[in-house]
Amino acid sequence: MTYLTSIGNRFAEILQSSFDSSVLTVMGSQSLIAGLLIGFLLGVVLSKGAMDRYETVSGMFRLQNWTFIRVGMWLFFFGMPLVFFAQKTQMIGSVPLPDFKPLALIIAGYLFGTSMALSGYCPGIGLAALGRGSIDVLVLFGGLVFGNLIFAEYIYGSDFMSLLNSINLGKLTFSKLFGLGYISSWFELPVIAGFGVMFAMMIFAMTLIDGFIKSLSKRVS
Amino acid sequence: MFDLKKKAWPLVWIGFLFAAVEVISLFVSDRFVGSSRSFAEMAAMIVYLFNPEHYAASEFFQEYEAQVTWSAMVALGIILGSFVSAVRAGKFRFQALPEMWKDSKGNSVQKRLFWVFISGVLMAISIRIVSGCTLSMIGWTMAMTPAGWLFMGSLWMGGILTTFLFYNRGLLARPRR
Repeated sequence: MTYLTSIGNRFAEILQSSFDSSVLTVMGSQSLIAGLLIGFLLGVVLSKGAMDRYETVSGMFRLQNWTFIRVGMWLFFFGMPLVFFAQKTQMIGSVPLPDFKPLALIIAGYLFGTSMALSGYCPGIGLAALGRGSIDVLVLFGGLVFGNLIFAEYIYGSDFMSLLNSINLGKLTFSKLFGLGYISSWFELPVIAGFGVMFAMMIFAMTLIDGFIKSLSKRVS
Repeated sequence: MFDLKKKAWPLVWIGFLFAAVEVISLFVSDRFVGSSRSFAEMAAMIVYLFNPEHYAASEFFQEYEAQVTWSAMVALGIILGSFVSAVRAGKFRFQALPEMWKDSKGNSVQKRLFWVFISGVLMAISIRIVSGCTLSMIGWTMAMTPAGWLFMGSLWMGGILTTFLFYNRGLLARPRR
């Protein structure tokens, strides 16, 4: 009985430390309310963009579904300049950048893609799929928790991780890659423009292809 | 303009709104949208509940604490947002077997759940290696880092190769509305 009580006590502790008044604010990096609202908006976007189902992910890997490519092109076309200018006009603070660890990124990316192909989900898409009624996502969550436990026990801090983290080029951005970024972050602008041109060309090409396919189906029917 | 009753919105709006949500997230919480941390925290909660000595001794759980945090609320928010959107558009449906999966792998629910579980295990390990999943990758790319592209390329390689090996003859999906 005391075993159950101690579990109950620890559960209460978790809730108490989680719902501390410092995180029940509307803004802030730990704000629970902000997280909920932001998640809600993203959930609606994922749902209306059909990014809440197996078909979109597996279809992408089968090279038959182009939703992610199409959304991605627009997302980055708008998003890259938005983030850059929001930072420059001080509307947002410094943007969190990852450490550039090529070995870790390649291995993790490959494994992640493999796992996505098996279930057709990633955590974000899976959450949206659960909202839509796909209850197999609950098993995905079980797998995710189990995988985290395995990582915590056997992989975290291991020699394998030291190997993957051995090449670390720091908070690299494209302008820094070309050397100029260390002088000023305004040198990011030509990179953004370059990407913008690339995305615009891809969007234009896809619009032409869409029009061509439409005209084909009109001729057939 | 943004009618929740519609089943889908034009992808240009989706792309723009996605970018807008990321910027809102940066403005309100100084971070890109992401929720994969919540699963590490869920694992931390389980260990803390059933083996608190091990929890205290583990370095991993010093970094990933047993708490409900911003990530967990984002995760809950995504579920709610998707739910409200699906119900309004009339496309909410309990299911465990996606149609495209049935075409390729048959009707066995156990098989589906087995592979989903394996997928989750591999996914969690890969996420923890770089502290990020696809949402983080989108954030990295928007922040003009090569990390996003390197992760994206490797993701594609792993996904396409696995898809070809895993689905074999059941690869071609039947076109559906």
